[in-house]
Amino acid sequence: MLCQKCKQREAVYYYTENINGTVKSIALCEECKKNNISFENHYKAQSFGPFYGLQIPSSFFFGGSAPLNKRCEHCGATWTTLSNGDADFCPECFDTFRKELSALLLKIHGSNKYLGKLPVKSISNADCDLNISQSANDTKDAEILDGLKRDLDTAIREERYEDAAKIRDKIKDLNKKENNNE
Amino acid sequence: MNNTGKYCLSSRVRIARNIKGLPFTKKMSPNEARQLIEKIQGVLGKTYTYINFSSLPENKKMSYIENHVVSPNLLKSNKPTALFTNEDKSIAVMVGEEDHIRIQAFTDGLDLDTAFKKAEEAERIISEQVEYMFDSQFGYITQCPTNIGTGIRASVMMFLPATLNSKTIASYSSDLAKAGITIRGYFGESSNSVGELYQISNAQTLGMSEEETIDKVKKTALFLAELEEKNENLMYSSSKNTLTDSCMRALGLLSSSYMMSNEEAQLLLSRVRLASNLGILDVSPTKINSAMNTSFPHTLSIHYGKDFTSPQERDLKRAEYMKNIFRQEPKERIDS
Repeated sequence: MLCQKCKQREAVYYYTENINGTVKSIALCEECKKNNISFENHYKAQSFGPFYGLQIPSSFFFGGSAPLNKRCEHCGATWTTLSNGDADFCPECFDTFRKELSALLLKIHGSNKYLGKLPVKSISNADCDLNISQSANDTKDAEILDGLKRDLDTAIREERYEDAAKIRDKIKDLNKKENNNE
Repeated sequence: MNNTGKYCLSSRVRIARNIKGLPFTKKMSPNEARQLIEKIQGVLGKTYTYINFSSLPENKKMSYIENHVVSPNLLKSNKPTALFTNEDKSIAVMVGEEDHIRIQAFTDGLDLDTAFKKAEEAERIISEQVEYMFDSQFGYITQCPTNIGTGIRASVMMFLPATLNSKTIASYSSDLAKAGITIRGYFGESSNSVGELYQISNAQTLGMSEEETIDKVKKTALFLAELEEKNENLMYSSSKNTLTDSCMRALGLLSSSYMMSNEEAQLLLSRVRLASNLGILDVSPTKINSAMNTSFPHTLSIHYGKDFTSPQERDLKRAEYMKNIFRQEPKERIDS
């Protein structure tokens, strides 16, 4: 099979290129493969999502800033010491630095919202979920509601109808609370 | 595609979890580490085999790492660590690694669904008796933000000699990164890999469901397998004689050498694997996988039931091992 670029030499590589979102396959010979600078330019020109695939460490993404006096009550870490690797996250840090972490996770994962399955225990401890943090803002309620709705789906799918009834009641309560606040 | 076994050696699903109320592993006291192990032993003890990993002889520890049953991180810890495995070692639960609990399930070939089911089952059994660290916004909490969310790393070990090499790996890496997939060498490093084997896995653990994660890695593996098949056949049709010669020489060395290093063995086995894929040689991928695993120094030592007194002795034994497996008559590939 002839190289599809020079149409002279024998093709030895089957190469895929991503041009503005369209993936094309092309057969190339050794020479054209070596001179494939155009492919590199295509990749560099496109905007990137998280660089994680190139193994840049997550500390690269930290950036942002937190109020200078914001310090984890449990371990004493600040966003600065967490960013430069002088401190590691402790379990409490995830709540203390919720805002900063949301921004960091958006960079690393392209999202800062969990869309997976919920722990079984969270259903019977639904109260715990509702009282997670005193500093929760309005969007927290919407997230908790989302979480409960997913719980409800899972419970129904798994035929745990008693749990499903409890969750349905919690959802009703939350909706009532929202309606009262409006 | 029904011959994915030629290009997909194994599949693995890893789930990371931490237990509420304990500090992360790094800050645990040895006592807390011991308590954690006892807790998990209480849950898994009846159906899983408990291995006091920290007190294993060096050989055995390294062999587990060579064969990907545990990660090198488990070695680093100076606190009590443990390993729980099921009967056929298709599930391994590490306790005391970077996160409290790391569940790993393995299958041969491309079968992420089964690996996922197995890992989930172990996760569920543990969840019935312990409470995991969980946040409704971030999901399952892990020491490192790169694992937060589902805590799932789904990966496939792939044989990609025709598609990937030092020249192409960078551009494939960047393309795959855009699709949320990382590609690493056999032992997790980014550069040239052992036996032209590469591990592809999901890059993100937040923002998608478990099923979507598994599906994404599966689709990528299938795509790369098809690509590799095309590239291998292209390679063959463009340089049939050179390629066949290279494969036959590899077989020759494996069948007749007196001494052999692991590096050379892995290289030769990779040639034989390619030959098998192309029908030049009649050697099963299973045989090659087994030889590849046993060639590693500590696993070889365990295979022969002895500590080698010198690298030379090891190389002698390795050559002997390969000879027993590969001495055979070559076949001719039938071209249409």
